[in-house]
Amino acid sequence: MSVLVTSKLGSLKRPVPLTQRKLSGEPYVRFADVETQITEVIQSPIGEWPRIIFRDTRRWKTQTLVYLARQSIAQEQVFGQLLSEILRRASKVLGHLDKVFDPTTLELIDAELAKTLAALIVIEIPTRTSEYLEIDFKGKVKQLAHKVTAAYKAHPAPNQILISSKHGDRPDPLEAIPSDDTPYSLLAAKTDRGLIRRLLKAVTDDRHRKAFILRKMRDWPMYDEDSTVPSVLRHFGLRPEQRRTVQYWIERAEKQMREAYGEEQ
Amino acid sequence: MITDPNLTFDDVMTFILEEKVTPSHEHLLQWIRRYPQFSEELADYFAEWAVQEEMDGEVVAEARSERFTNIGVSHALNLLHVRKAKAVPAAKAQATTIAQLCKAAGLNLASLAQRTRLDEELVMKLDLCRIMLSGIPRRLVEMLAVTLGVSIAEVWHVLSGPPRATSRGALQKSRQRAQVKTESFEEAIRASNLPLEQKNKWLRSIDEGTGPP
Repeated sequence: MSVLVTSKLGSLKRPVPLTQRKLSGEPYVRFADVETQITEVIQSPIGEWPRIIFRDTRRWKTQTLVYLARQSIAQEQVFGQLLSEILRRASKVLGHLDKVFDPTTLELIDAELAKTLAALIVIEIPTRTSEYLEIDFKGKVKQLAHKVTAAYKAHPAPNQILISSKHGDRPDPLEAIPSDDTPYSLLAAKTDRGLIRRLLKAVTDDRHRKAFILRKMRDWPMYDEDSTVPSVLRHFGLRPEQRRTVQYWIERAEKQMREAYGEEQ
Repeated sequence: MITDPNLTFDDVMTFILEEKVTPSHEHLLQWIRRYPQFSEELADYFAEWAVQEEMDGEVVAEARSERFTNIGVSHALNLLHVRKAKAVPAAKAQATTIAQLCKAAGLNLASLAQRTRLDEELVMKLDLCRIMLSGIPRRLVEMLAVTLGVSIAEVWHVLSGPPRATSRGALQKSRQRAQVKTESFEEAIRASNLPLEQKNKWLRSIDEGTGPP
């Protein structure tokens, strides 16, 4: 977070530059449109900012709001309004987690993410992570989500998802679908991303889905003798002789996806 | 590869954002080679990324969004309140005048005068250390300590500073070394605009004991 509100250039107040550097050594720089928006707002006293912003909220980049929130910390009411809008936008980036985690785990993840993000916005000494929120807010929020959810890879317990199958009183998809060669090449070739996403959502166990994605779509090896090479088995904390378990998970995911594909035709 | 030992995994994550990286196994291996100290974190991170990349685009329920926002705002305000609470003792610790102690306690000289039943001019004289220490009633110092939320020793400490002029400008007007007038507490009370009854109370307090213990 920048320490001063503004540095003056002539009579026009300018945003305080970021302080961190990229891996290449180049200084962090906000995008020009964000700088322009910030410059526009900070010409007015802080008490005026909510009126300016909330007159047409959608016009403002979230990176702009992060800068303004940081500069308005001393004025709790202004800060609260800006932070609410920032967090509301952040929550919209996390919709996919609904499909990956059970409701209890999701609540824990949401709480941890909301607190992490809030702490980064009010941080006293800026870091690369905190300043990147003024460069690529959405990208950074997604990253934080990947990091937080990685700690929950063992959730939910295996039987939780199976119990909460969304198929209701319809027959078990594995009974209904023959295991022949339904066009799977569409998935492998990734020709229709929307279709792939819809089919993946039909997989009811997140471990089955993850095993499928890592093995079939991201080319993770099932197992590698070299312990420094990440593999599907190691990721799930399984031994090489448990290879069959993961194969079963992948087959099950494929069957559920075939069923969903069949329903779309 | 030699890397900065102070580098955190959060830094590495931000580097990933700076480059065109996809959650493929090939890229994962590249990043593990660059930052072997974070190999486990990177593997978990890439695995989550790969899954969430394919599950993107879902609409968030309003209730979930609201809960997320409330938790975040509440947490931020808590952090700021804790920070503020820490900053006040720090300000007190650095205070060298009555005015600074007032500020740290969220008061001004006028409100301090009102709470200690003095007049503002007298409080200002105390702030400028123009009242001789030996004649200041201990009862007054106790009242100041309670009102300002500091110890009695701290109040004596700030009152014992060198007498100061009202402003820096006043010191500069004379070519000679500035003489800052001091007086006893009794003289200051008698010269004050306090009601007679209040003056008498303070004069009686002098008999109860004055000066630092």
